[in-house]
Amino acid sequence: MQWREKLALLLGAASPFALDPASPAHAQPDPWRDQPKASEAHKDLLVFVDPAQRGRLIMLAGHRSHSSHSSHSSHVSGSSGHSSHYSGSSYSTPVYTPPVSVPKPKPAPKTYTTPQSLYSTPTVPDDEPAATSAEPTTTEAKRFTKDELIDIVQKVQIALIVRGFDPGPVDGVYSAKMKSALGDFQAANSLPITHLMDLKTLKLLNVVQ
Amino acid sequence: MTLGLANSTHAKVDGVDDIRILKLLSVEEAAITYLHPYWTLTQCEGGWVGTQSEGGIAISDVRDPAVLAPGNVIRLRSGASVVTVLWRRGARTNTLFATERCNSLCLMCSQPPRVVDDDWRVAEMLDIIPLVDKAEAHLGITGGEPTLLGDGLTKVLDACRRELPETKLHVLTNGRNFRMPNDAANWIAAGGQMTTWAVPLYADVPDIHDEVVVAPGAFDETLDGLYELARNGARVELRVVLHALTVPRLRQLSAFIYRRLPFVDHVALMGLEPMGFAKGNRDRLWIDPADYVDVLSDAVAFLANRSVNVSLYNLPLCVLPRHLWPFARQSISEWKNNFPQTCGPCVVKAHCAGFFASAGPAWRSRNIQTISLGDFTHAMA
Repeated sequence: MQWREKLALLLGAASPFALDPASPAHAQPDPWRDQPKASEAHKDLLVFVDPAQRGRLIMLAGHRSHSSHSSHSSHVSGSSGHSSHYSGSSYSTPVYTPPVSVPKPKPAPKTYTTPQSLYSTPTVPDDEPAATSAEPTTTEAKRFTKDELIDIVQKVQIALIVRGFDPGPVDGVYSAKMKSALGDFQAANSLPITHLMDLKTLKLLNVVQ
Repeated sequence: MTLGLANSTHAKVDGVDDIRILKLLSVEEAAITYLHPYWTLTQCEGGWVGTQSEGGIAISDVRDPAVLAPGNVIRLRSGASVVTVLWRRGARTNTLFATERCNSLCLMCSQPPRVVDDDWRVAEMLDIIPLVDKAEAHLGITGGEPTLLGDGLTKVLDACRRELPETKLHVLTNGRNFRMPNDAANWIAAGGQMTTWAVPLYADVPDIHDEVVVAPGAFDETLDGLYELARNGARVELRVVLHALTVPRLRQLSAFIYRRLPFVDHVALMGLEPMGFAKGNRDRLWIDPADYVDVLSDAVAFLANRSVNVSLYNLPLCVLPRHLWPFARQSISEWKNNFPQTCGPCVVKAHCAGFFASAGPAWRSRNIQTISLGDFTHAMA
């Protein structure tokens, strides 16, 4: 259950993922750009409704950008351990690389003193990429590291499979197929059909308590 | 019982005459509760206290303080140091225990009946019900056979409807006493729309059913009872415990349910619980779930394809083929949901019913295994 603690910590914590334009980065191909509808206006891919701040959203992942802005490439720091940095404006395209090999959920450290101890000192930049205007983000919105993201998406994929929905292979990629499976699950359970991993959906999937 | 907590603990108990049913409240809640102080104890430093005007009941030196929490309904006895939790706030399943008596003697009974005069339990339930949180979603009534309480059951159900109108009730009964139309009508009317009657049926033929419940004629009585339930518009769940006596005719039973009992709301197929009488009858009952998943798949498919709600309980996901996973429910009772060490790294553990690991290897399917991410790398067939 350590990852749940981690999730709870992250939700209760200040942003551990600072915007750091100076961070070393290298351009990587964006797998989501290959998805259908990639040219649509940017929107959050994964959104998490923070129970402590009703109506506000915590982003789990970056947004998909309008294709015309794809030149504003932004980067994920490659090997910075627990910290992952996004750069760019609100129109940036966060780069997200699928894992080469599927990482097993690894045991996290048993004890957390403060979230800060896990991450580099959080700084909240003024121009932090915000969610779409329709979905207000809190200024404390935090990003998960790539590994955490993959882990969470995999857990949701497994939860969907267990319940008879087909999100495609369990690879940690928020694919179109997974999106459709999420929608089917939401429809079958009389939830708002957002196709997103929102809190209600995650709870019903038993991915968060 | 629930939340992985014991349902009783020892403590120093003062000021109790006879037996008292009480609700524990936090200080904040005590200030605004609608309950009369006679029924409440308030949290304080080191324990729980009642008001002086109501006799000055106090609980202190609680051995396991985690067992007692605000909202819980407890029983205290004079001269005894035991504090028993009868209803727990936040537990997934709370159950009222109606009676220890039963008119069946099922081979795999997890709660072996006793011949005792425990009609006092009616009064106790009537004390408990008004103290239960009104927001309680589900409340079970079990035994023994609750219908042996006769009018007592009617009173309990009336109290539930009056005090807990939003709460869904789930009554476990063998259905035999529902063959009597007047009693059946009374109980069903008292239960109202919020009550589900969960009735076990073990075969489509009398011989096997009667053998399992160790009561000649039980099959006919249960069927009469089921039709009486249907006639009165009751919500009925059928429960089938899967073991060596019931599995061979499971296909026929599912056809029987579809054809003869079409009013049934839900069919619950349940793995054997290695407790109570089941332990002593292992040789007659044990069948490795790995050896019946084919039969089970057929039965589930037959019913599900005909729009009958089917659920599987008490069966870990690793012993079930992938296509049965959507029917598997996590165990209703949290104490059942426990995992041995081998399940540690399993990726579907969060969705699994678990199994009775404590029952030992004689009750363990050979297919118990860790499911890893590698099992999911390909899209589902």
